[in-house]
Amino acid sequence: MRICVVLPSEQQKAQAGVRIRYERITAELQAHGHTLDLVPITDFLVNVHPAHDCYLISKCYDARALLLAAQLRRAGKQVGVDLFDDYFSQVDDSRFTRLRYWLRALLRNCSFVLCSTEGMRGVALQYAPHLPVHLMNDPAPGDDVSTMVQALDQKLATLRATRRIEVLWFGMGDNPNFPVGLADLGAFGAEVARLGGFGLSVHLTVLTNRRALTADRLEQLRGLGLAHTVQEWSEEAEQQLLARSLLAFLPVNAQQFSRVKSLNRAVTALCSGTQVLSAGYPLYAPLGAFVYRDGRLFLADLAKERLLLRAETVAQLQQQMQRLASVTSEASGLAQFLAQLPGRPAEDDSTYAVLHGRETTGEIHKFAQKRAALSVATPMCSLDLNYDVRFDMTSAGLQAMVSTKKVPLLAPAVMALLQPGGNLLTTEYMMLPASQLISQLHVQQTPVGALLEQNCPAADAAAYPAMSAAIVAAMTAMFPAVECIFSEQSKRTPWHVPVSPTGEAAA
Amino acid sequence: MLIENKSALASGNQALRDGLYAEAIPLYASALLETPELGKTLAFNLHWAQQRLPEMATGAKARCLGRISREELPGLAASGADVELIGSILLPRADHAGSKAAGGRLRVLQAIDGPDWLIQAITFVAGTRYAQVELVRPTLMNFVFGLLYKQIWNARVVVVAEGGTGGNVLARPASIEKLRGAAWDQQVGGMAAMFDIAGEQRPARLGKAARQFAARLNSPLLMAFLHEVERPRRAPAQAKEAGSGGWMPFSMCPAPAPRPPAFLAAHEWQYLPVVSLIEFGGIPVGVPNAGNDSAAVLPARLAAGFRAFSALNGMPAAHGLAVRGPAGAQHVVMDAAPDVAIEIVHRFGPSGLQLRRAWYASMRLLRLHVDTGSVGETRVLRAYQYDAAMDGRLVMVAEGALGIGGRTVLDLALLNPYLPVLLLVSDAHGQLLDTALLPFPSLLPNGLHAAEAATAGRDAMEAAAVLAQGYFDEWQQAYGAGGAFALGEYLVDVHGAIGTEKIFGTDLKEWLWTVFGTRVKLWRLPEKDEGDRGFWEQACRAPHGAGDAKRYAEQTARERAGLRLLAPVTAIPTLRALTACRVNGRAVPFRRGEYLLVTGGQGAPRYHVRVPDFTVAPERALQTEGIVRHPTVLMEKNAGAGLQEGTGAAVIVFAETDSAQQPELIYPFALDGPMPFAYEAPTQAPSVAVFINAAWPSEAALTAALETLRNQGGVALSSVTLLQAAGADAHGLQRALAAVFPDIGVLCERAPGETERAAIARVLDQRPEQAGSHVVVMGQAVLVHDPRTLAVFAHLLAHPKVASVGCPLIVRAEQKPNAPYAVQFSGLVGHSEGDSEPALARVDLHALYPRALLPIACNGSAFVMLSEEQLRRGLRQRTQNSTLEEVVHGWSVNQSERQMLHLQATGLTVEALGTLPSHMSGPVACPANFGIHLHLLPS
Repeated sequence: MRICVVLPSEQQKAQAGVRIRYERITAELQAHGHTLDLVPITDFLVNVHPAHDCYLISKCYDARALLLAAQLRRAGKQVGVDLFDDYFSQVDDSRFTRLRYWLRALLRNCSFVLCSTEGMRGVALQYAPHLPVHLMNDPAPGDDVSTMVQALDQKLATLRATRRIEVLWFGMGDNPNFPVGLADLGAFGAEVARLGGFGLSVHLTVLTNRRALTADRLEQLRGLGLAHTVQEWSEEAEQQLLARSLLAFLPVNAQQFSRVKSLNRAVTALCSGTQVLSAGYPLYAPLGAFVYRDGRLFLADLAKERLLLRAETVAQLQQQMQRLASVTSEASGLAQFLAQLPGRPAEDDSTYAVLHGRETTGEIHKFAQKRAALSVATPMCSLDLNYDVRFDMTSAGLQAMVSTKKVPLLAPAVMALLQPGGNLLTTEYMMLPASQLISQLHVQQTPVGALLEQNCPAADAAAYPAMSAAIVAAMTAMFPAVECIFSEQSKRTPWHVPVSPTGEAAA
Repeated sequence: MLIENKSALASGNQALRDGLYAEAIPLYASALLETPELGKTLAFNLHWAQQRLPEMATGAKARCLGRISREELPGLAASGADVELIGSILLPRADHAGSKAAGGRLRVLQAIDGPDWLIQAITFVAGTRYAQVELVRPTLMNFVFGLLYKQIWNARVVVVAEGGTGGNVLARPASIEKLRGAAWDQQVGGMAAMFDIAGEQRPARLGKAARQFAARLNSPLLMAFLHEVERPRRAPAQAKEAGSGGWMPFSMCPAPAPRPPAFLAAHEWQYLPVVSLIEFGGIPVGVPNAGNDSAAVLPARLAAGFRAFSALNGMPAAHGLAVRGPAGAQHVVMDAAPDVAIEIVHRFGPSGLQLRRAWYASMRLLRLHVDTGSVGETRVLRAYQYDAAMDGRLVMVAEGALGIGGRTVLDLALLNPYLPVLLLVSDAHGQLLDTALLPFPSLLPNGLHAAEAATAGRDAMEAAAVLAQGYFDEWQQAYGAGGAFALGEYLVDVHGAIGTEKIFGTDLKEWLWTVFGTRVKLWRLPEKDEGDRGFWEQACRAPHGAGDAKRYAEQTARERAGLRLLAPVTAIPTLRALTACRVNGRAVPFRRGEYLLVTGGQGAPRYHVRVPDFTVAPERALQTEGIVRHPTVLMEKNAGAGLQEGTGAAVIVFAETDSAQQPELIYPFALDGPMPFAYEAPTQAPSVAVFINAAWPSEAALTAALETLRNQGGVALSSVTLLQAAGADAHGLQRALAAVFPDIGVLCERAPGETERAAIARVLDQRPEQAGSHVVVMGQAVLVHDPRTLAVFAHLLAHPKVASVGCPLIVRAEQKPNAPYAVQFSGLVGHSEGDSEPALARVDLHALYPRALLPIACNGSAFVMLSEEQLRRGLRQRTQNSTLEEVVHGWSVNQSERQMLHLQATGLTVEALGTLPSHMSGPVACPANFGIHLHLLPS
């Protein structure tokens, strides 16, 4: 089977997450007779015909992925989505309506879901109870027993000499939407502070991204009263610090976003011969035999020099890794899962329409047109491009302009209602007046024209549901069997489109 | 071993513990140079190390010649001995001549010369060990060398009386010029005869003479090296532990920085030439007074401090006060009840020290500012906490010398920021002099209970001291025989919790269990979290090792008899609630719905909050908000009757401080998600009439606002009435109404001289009175962007106790598309400060309580829903109010006085397009004795 992982950009290939999750299993999949390619979504601008058997959408959170998935499904391809971060289960949080819409729309065309943790499986099943979900753990790096044992000995020797516990906290220090990372460190940092005394000093190194180092968070760190050093994250720095740290502190809060995270950090720490102390939510329970939940127990073990991870238990850790994060088993598990998916028949292609909202991008517009979809401007859209269809709000209601090139796609009855519309940019349009839409095509319109004129997020948020419903109704009346996809990238406006129980934008 | 930042004494002690005696001796010598005032102790340590120092191996260098004359050089060279010279002016020549004559066997080691010759000599002797030293002539400097070798290395020192007139070759440093003369030569000559002779050592006679000599020399430094040493008679208390792998000394103190010579550190007491140490909590805490090896003679004040601290921490008898002497530890029986007659809380006694300031510099770094006043001698302050976990032990959390006659800042690296702190004052040698107790240090500024002290409204230190004393007294009463704590169970509602809340902090749980014998318990687990029950129970559990069967038994009994306090998960209990003593079964020592609101990680005091009883019913809170937001006392059915409530706050609530992001301000609850805030599911869409009396920036803005009303779901709009303002374009208003509400829109044009009140009354009179219908008063231009707004308001208004419902007004700072929003208004609340009477004030409740349902004093008239019947009543009231705004305001006041609630739903917002009505934006004079009341706390 030829597997294609669709990434948002070429640069994404360099991200640690991509390397850990996909590149580590590539060779192993080959051993099973499969190939795995990492392909930026922009490549589908030119590669119109799908060459792979299975497509996995990874972190492409915009309308391009929705359109591509729909077209691939029609082509009879297996389409799946890989879910890592939980921006989907906070159903009352207005910041993520965009992503909830994205997932609902995407899953309509998926034949499976891949996820990284058991928690994410639960989230996936909430959205798509009918779809098969496969859990593929992030594979662990290859570990060298002798190196690990050597590292463990070295760290203890250093401790004896310096009487200082080197503690490392590493990872993303922030998230724009949730209190995680350094916030967790601030909340649970007392657990590290409690290691102090008893003849040992404690030094904490914080290895994180620069963006996270705001004055508030640094103040929170200072408040811990711990001697600490802050370094900017790099892979090299992480390896160096793990090599010399006795203990990795991995606190986890209990909010849903954090509960479904992978075991990555604990696995990385343990494989480098670093003890792990975790506080808060027991995310790392599957590695429980090697993870301290109480700093005092760590101290007690330290005094006896019988830490959870030591030369005698390294083999046990390896066995655990085999179960939880083995490249071999994860790759074969994925291959087996994909092979068992029922085949999908190819279907006649449909007409797709990408409806551009307040904030969209030229790339999405171009992508839609290259992929033979209609690129449609809603009245909110401020980007002036050669759209195939434009909707404007007039005093009488919504009015449509259709590119003359796309007129043949219209329902025959609609063609008769068209009037000359003139040229906009380099496109020639035919016009469908609001009066025709209402009277002839029976498109119900709730008045939102004045709201749209206000041009402010709250007014937009108020107008969005009514406006989007009216446009979908109009598009459905104008283009037979059209499937509408919204392209709205605004993070400031809590936009919302009514969605039918089947996941389709309601008319 | 890497030794960092240690004093020579500490390093010497470390070397001694490690059995590195040859290393320890020069370190002690260096320590003597650093701290001659500790000469007695150091001399003892030196002697201790000497006793264990293996004899030098045969064949090691065994001879040293002191300073010699030029004439002696050839003789030495001819003697065939290995000769090392210590000299000064002759050295270059001697080196040359000696090397030449002796074939390299004559070496010059070091030049010792100049005013600091004695320091040079000590440094040299300390660094150069010999088994035997031969001095060629009994000169003054040679004699000092002999003394030093005797004292530092216990070397055999022999004076070789050879010929020659050393006087002319001796260096004569300026500082000893005055020592010339026959008397000195005679004395030195006489003493030199006391050095060893072949086969015999005579240190005893020498010692006394040497001390007399040093006294005459007026050299404290040399005197420090000549202390008379007693042979130790007991094994060091911790030596055994050190030998058995106990390499963790019980100290929280960071590695000591190099410090000025001042005092003997606690870990150095074990090397004292005394027979006994006072132990407490399993570790030495002091040295008995000279001549008294018994703790029984401890001053009463000290005994009281130990007793109180022991009781607070529930220390086992084995960790009580004891005196460890040669025959082992002898425990001292302490009274069960602390002596309350002696003031030890936040106060020192006879030492004259005063605790001026104390504050938390970080989460667990408590900084004390101590005034030493006129104390003229070195005083050492040590602080201790008791670590109940892991079998319990006392931990020293600070140790430092106090400056003489001034103020000293001492940092306490606390084991736990909540646990009691025992302060002990000693002299430089460790003899205990005084004590003070911080029973509840978290009351101190920046502590997590500092808000309680802030309520006292006076100097923070004074308030903390007064409260600490009061709480401690009450704690003793509850803890003592026959007493009982009023609080039986502390329950938390974990709806919406994320596990980082302070109530789940290990320090807090450990403290609750150790000092109060109580635990945090779950109230009701959210259904969605049922699978995580184990986690939440674990999150509430006392930390590992803190529990014991006795406490569990006490807890069970206590839960049966005490009050059940239910608190939001963002709260921690106040000391008031925790220490309160049970008077009788029906008394509540605090008021339900009363709490302290703090912000920030360290809990900066903001408000003392009181909410009406109606709001604190937990079942209703869960039903309407999905969360318990205010503390309450859970009572059995009908048990509330006759309940005697006290006053004061039961908990400290940590308010949310992250400002809402823009989408959250627009839709606090997402449009595609569930919306709480309903008492019951509506069976029929309520009828709502809208009255609009606002100035609109444009006709388009008015039309937009009408469109948002048209979008409202879940209600049946019966009419939308626009009151024509003076000068407003009636045609424009009519156009807007006709465009959006052609059927139910009404433009109320006022006749000349007709008041708003009369015009509204006229409109209302024209329509039939409909039971259960509601009215929305829109006194300000707003966009009701959330289509659920009116339905939610109507549902909330259905409750018979609710008079009106409103929500925050958000506004853009600039009229630009992406200008950020801010909260313009979120209700008028009762507000006071200091001793002032409550007054109505605008407070940003949305920032303090996002997505909440709050009872407030008044919703104002900008955007509020009330029942149509109530509006009609308001209009009928005989007042001078002529505008709609005044009518609504007057009616609101009237409703508050009748104990009816105005609810502010911060889970909804409307966008304000204009300015607030005058009653909401300016100072308001009306009673503010109902709804939520906020008393501003001094920060």
